[in-house]
Amino acid sequence: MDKEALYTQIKQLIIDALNLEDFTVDDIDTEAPLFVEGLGLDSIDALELGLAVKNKFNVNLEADNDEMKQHFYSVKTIADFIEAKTQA
Amino acid sequence: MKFSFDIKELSGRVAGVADEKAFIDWLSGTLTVPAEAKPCKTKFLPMMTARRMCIGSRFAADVALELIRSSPVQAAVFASRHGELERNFSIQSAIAEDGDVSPTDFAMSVHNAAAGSFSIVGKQQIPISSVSAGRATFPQALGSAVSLLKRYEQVLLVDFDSYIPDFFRQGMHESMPDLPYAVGLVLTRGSTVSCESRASEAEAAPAELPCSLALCKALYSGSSYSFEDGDNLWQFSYTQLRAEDQ
Repeated sequence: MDKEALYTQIKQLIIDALNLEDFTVDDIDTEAPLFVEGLGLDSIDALELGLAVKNKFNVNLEADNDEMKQHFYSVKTIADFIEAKTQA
Repeated sequence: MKFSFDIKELSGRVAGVADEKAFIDWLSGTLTVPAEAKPCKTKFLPMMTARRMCIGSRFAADVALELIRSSPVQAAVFASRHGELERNFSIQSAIAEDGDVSPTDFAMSVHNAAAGSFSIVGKQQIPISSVSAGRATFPQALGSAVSLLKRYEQVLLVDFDSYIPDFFRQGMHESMPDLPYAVGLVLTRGSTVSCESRASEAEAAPAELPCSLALCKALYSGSSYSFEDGDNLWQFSYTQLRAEDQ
């Protein structure tokens, strides 16, 4: 899949899964942090987003650890993680 | 049980009614909203908090945050007959289908979700309780709020409910209101409104509106209002409110 299309898909997934009613995909910066200072998402959002990514892209997520935090840092890092998992 | 109180301020939400003025107009009959009107966005509850809440809970927290801007309160009672039923149904459905439970559903499925969100957003470190008492939820919560007036000058009472999932409607009386709404009252000591209950096993009469909304409408129309919950008859008497006084 084209990388830009994957970014858009992930952004829409974030909006839908986390019910970000006033947001469009254009409001989410591909490389900006998603949690705390960036979009302002929190730990419940992290769990909800992890579940959504797992169901949508059929990838297995490890238990909560520092590595997973790095994978979910931004839309770009999530895309890299999905690509690595699906190509493995 | 017999008690009386004054209403310092009231506000509310139903679909198509976004703030205190529109709510008073709706109560007094000068504003009608189409049945298919969509719920308005919250004005006082930030989207990042509202997004996780059922529509009735959003209304409740928004009304509460609106009222405390002009009427600081020392205690609050949140009342909801069904509470977070949509969340709980979603959790049970996921388990029944062997699926994953949504972390948001899990985190927000407690009965005091609206009260907690109000407390956090409004920075209200005050005693807050959540009441559910079946058909008698509103009058029982009212009695609870009035009892707090022995100790506090102003007490907030918020009564609310969300949509009832279709699954549960199969066994319910068809006249059961399915109207997401919230009513907020700032109560003070006084005798403008009195309520007296007595035991009555009369069949609960079909109601077009939830008890709190029906009472507020009656307050503005000046008509008498009583409510049968299947165990008790609650009779209200009051001096008519005028929309221009609010």
